[in-house]
Amino acid sequence: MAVYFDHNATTPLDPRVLEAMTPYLTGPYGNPSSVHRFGRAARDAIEQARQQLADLVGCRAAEITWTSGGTESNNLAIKGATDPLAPGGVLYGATEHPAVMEAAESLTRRGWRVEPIAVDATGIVDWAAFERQLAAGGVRLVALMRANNETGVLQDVNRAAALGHAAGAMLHVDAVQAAGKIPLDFRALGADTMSLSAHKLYGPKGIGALIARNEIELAPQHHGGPQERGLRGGTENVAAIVGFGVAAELARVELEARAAHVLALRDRLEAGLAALPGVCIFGAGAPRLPNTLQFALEGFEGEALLMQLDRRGFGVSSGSACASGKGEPSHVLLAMGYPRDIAFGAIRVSFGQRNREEEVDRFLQALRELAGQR
Amino acid sequence: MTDALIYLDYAATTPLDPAVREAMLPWLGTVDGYGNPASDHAPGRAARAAVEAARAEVAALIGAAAEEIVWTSGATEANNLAIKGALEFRGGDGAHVISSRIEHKAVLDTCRYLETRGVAVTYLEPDRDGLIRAGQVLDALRPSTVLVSLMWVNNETGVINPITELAPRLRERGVLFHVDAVQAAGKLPIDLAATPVDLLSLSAHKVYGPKGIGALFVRKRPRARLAPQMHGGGHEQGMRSGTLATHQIVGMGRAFALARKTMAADAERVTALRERLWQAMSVLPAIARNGSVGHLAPHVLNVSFAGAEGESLRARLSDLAVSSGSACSSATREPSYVLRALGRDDETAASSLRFSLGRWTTPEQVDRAAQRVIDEVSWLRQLAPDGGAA
Amino acid sequence: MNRENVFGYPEPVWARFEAPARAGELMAAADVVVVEAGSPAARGRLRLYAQLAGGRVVDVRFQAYGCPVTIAVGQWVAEQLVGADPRVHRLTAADLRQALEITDDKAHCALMGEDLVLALVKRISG
Repeated sequence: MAVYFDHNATTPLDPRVLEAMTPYLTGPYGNPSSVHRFGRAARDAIEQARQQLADLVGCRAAEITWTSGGTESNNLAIKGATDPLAPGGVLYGATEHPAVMEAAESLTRRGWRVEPIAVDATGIVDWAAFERQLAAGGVRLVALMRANNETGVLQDVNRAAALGHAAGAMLHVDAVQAAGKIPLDFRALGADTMSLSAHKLYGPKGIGALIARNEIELAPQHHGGPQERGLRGGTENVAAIVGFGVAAELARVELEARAAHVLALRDRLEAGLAALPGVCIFGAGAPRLPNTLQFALEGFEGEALLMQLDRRGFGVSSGSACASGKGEPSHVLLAMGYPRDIAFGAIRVSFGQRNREEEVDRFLQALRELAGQR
Repeated sequence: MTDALIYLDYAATTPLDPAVREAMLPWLGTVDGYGNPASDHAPGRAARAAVEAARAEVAALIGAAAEEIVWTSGATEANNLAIKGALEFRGGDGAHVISSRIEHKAVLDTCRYLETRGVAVTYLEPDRDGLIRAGQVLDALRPSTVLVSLMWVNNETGVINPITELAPRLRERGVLFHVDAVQAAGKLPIDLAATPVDLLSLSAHKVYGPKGIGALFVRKRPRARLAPQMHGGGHEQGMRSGTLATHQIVGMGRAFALARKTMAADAERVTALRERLWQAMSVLPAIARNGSVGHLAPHVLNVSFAGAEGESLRARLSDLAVSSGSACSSATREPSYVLRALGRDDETAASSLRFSLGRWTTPEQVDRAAQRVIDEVSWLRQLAPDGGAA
Repeated sequence: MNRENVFGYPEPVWARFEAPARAGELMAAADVVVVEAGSPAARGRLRLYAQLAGGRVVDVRFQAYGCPVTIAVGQWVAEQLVGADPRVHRLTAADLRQALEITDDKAHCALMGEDLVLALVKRISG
């Protein structure tokens, strides 16, 4: 029986979400932009989902734009918010997801000054360095993730918002990994824009959202068609939007129970790992997501360990499930100051609702055996 | 069940084929089939294999190689990636692009955006029958022309553009050729091995596949080069980042595989139904067909009903799902820009309906639809001063 | 045939659009006047046939070309005019908008109805 410990890469679909989507995968539900009867039913379903998502993340329904996923949301936020402005400065956290880093870096070709914000050894923003960067002037946009996808480390987004706003900069928050795992309130965070993805919270792949305050002017990145108030053209993916809505509602109702479940597993794993020789737990000194634990075992190369674990039926990852940087050590761990050989050994475990204690014990047993074979 | 709604809007979107849905369900996994195709473990590898099998199916329908298919969230993104990606890669300043007045909004709005970035764009005018001739395109070429973007089949009139004739001529001149083939794929044979188009946009939900997934064909030899428009993660050979939606991709693959099998028979059947619909409505006086009858894709019939105002006609035909113009602009209730480009006045454009037929259209539906149109057009004309004559 | 108000027109509009009881024309006669109003914005036209007796409207019919709201405006004006003296019982665009729940984007249809009544008043007075 395979064990899946890679919920930060993607989650299984909740059966209740699939059930809600099924009517929209059956029968001619129409193009929601068409004005006939089928189209109207689709439109109503889309607006209901918008409200369900708004309720999860503490924003207004009208502030939500549907996208194809977290990557598009991050691209739309960063490129869309800077397009209408004269070039200035952009800062992004050194441990951001590649979608944020690369979207930000793409702005250099448009004349923007783009710099990472350093983090300390636990993965938390180096606030003094950040303030110096802001003080240099001209910063128009700061991008900082709420929760890191590899280490699970949480950033103090409020503090970044206060500092950034005081310096005249907008704040974009990548909340893809935070949504559904910890409480999330767009207003309370002080963010101007925020990215979300459905398939990290038991919703379908291929659907995401960007939350944007009304005052933020965003230039569309997908031109064509009046969908999403002209901000994002293209026929709406009705089934997926409905699925995202229901997944968001379930996450809101079950948030505490879910967090408690995975936290117990995470603590069990962390305690078990402590008994192994030469274990390093990344971000251990920082507040972290309840479900995530990234570690290295001394003397193990990550890819080799992953392969061994995969052969034994454990689905874990070294870090990000992205196509870029394969064969490269994690940029997150390098930014935290770890040497390449330790970063190369990284294993990320990310728990989900269906994981059980017994699976954690089997995983620890496998690690002990592998360590013993060394 | 005479009051059941008759769906004649297949050009706006198609229902999922049940076989496509069956293929998708295992990848809407609650227990299995949920892996991230970019993950290096068993669930990830299984998803990746499904994605690659679908890529081969999509490629097969259009005579391409699998590695020339880049997944996108739909045709709008594919059109954006093709046009902005090509111009950004080559440098837009001082460059010239040729397109037409009757392209889909995704192409037109992208071209308008490029104009704000220093690109010159020529928008070709179709003739009254909606045709754009190859000679028109060639005459518009300038030394600075880097890209021609034309649709294979127009979504409102169904008129087929001379893509196969144009492609070799543009290749000779070294001009990149992008084709929006959303309304052509699965309707007409497309063989990119024989037709040197460089970039071609596809959508699944017009071919009985799911919404939210499309693809861009990007030719490998000679290589069409694009600057990515969605950054981060380096998926799709760096051209389009973002987690791949396995179930959507598998659905598109199955839909295109089905289309390959049924295309010839579907085309014959749907063409016959379309002509049956037109013949049945032809008892009405003063109606006119839009679009060159000799150059039509099988599925579209566009008719102007003089003297029957379009909004009232649609409201009275609430039991027919048809479009007045493209679905994408009908919310704004402006007369179709495509029909206006064909030289129709606002009045005529606004009193036009697009009927589009598909896999589940029956002769009975066609006959009933025709009778309903005849009844309501006659009613509205009778209500109007002077029988609707201006 | 069950037509459905799938586009969400206001109920007073939909009812009159569905079954405009006063649609039609009156035979030309000495006591029948014909007036028209039109709106380029609505791409619409209204024609009213009114049979008069001592300044009062004793019978009325209308014809309309235009959107459902235009047609409903024609029907409503005709309904209101039966038995009334339009010089005394003045109908305005505001009355029309209130009675038919006409939204801002269709305000020009209500104005066309007011124009039609004004044309009739002018004809009777002139």
